[in-house]
Amino acid sequence: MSGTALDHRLVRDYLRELDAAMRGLPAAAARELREQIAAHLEDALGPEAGDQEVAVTLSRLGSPAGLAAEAGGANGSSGPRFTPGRSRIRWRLAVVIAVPTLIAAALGTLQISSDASNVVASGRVQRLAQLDAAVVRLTQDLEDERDLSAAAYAARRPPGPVPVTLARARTATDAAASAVRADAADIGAGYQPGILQALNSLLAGLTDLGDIRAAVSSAAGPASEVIRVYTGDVIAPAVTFSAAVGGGIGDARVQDTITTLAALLRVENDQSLQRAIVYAALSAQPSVLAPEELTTLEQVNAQQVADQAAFNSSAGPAEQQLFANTVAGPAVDSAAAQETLAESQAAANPSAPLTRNTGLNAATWYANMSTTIEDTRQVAGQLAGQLTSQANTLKSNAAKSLLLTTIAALALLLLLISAVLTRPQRRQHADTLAAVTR
Amino acid sequence: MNGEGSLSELRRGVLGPCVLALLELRPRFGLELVRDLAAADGLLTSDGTVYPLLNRLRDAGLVTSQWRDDQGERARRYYSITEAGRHHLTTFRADWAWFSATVGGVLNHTAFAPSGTPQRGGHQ
Repeated sequence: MSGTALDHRLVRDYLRELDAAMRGLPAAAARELREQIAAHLEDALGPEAGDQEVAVTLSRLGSPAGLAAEAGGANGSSGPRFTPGRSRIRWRLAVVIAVPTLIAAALGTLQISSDASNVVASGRVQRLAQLDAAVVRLTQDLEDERDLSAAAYAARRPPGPVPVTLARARTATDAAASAVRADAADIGAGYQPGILQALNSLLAGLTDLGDIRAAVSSAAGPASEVIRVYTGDVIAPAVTFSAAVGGGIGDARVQDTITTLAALLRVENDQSLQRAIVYAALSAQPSVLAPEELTTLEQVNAQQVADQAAFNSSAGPAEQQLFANTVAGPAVDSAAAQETLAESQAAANPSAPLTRNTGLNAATWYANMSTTIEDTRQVAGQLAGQLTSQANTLKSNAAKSLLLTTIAALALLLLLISAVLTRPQRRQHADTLAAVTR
Repeated sequence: MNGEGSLSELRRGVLGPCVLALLELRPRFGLELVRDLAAADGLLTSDGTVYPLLNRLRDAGLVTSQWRDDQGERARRYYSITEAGRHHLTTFRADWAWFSATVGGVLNHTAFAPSGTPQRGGHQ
C-alpha cells in the first residue's frame, strides 16, 4: 500500500463522516477544515501507521460531528451559532435603531414645519396688528377731517382757503394715510382673501380723498353730503378692515383684542358722526337741524348703543372699566346733555335756530364732543398697544419654539446617528472577544 | 455542572489566548500547535478543536496563515500571530492576571480581607 495515511481505511471513513457532518457549513469553511484535518493526519501518521495508532490519533481528534459543531455548522450542541446569531442581532439592532430614528425624524420634521409655519403665521399677525393700529389712527384723523369738512361745507363760506383746523386735520390724515400705505405694502400673498379685499377697498377709498377735498374747498351744500361721502368712501372701509383683521388670526387673545378694538372704533365713529351732524347744524346759518338730519342723528345714536353693547360683550371687565373711567367727566356729560337738548329742540320746532335761547353753540359743542371722542381714542390707543404687544409676544414665542424644536430634533438625530455608527463597532469588538474566548 | 463540564467551559475560554501565546514565540503548523498545546496537561480535550479555533482567530484578524515548503517535504500551512493578535494577547494577560487573582481570592475566602483584593491591572 503506497501513498499516505489518508488512504487508510479508518482515516477515509473518518473523513467521509466529517464531510457528512459539515454539510451544513459554508463550502469554503468545510473545505478548509477538511484540508486542515487531513494535513494533521498526514503529519501525525506515517504511510505505514497501524490500525491502533490510527484509531488513537482519530479518537484524539474528536468525533467528526463534534468538529463540525465546533466549526459552527452542524446540528451539534456546543458553541453558539456564530454567523446567523450575529446577523440576527444586527438585523434586530437595525430595526431597534431605524424605527425610532425614522419616527423621531418624521415627528421632528412635522414639529419643525408646524413651528415654522407658526413663525410665519405669527409674523403675519404681527404685521396685521401693526397695520390695524395704523388704520385706527387714520380712521380717527379721517373722522376729524370729515366732521370739520361737513361744517365748512354747510357753512356756505365763499370760496377760499379752508379753516386752519380743517387744513391741520387734512395734514394729519395725509400722514396717517402714508403710514397705512407703508404698512400695507408688506401685506400680500398668504393673507386671508377677506383681509386683502378689505385692505384694497380702503386703499382705493384713500385715492378718492383728493376729489372729496376739492369739492369741500370749492362748493357748499348740506353737511350730510360730505358726511356720506367721507363715511362711505374711506371711513367705512377702514372700520370694515379693522373688523376683518380679526378673522385672519388664529390666536384667541389677539383675536379678542382686535374684535374689541373694532367695536370701539365703531363706537368712536358713531360719536364722531354725532359731532359732525350737530356741529354742522350749529355752524349753519340759520342753525337748524333738518328733519332728515335729525333722523340720521337718531339712527347714529341707536347704532352707538348697539356698538357699545358689542364692545361690552367682547371686552373683558378690565377694558370695560377702563372705558367707563376714561370716557367720563364734565365735558362728556355736558356733550351728552347738549345733544339731547339739540335733538328735542329740532324735534319740537325744526325751523327754529338751535342756538337761540338754548345756550348751545358750535364751538362749545365741538370742544365737548371732541373730549368725549378723545377719551374714547385713548381707550382705543391702549387696546392697540395691547394688540401690538400680544402680537410681538406671539411672534417671539413662535420663534423661540422653532429654535428649541430644531435644536432638540438635531440633538436627537445626532444621538441616533452616533448610536448607529458606534453600535456595530462595539459589536465587532465583542465578536473578536467571542471568537478568541470560545 | 459536573467537574468535567466546568473544566471544558474554562478550556474553551482560554484556548484562544494560549494559541496566541504559542504563536507569539514563532509560527507553527497545525500538528505542531496541537502537540505543544497537548503538552500542557489537560488543556486540550480533543486535538481537532484547535482547527476551528484557528479559523476563528484568523477570521478575527488575530492570526494569519501561509503555505511554506519544509526542506523538500510537502507544503504545510503555517500559522503566525498578527499585530492585533499580539495586542489582544497583552490585554488578555492583564485580564487573566486580575481575573485569576480575583477568582482565587473568592474561592479561598481571602477576597474580603481589607487589603487582599487584587486590583485590576493598568493595561487600559
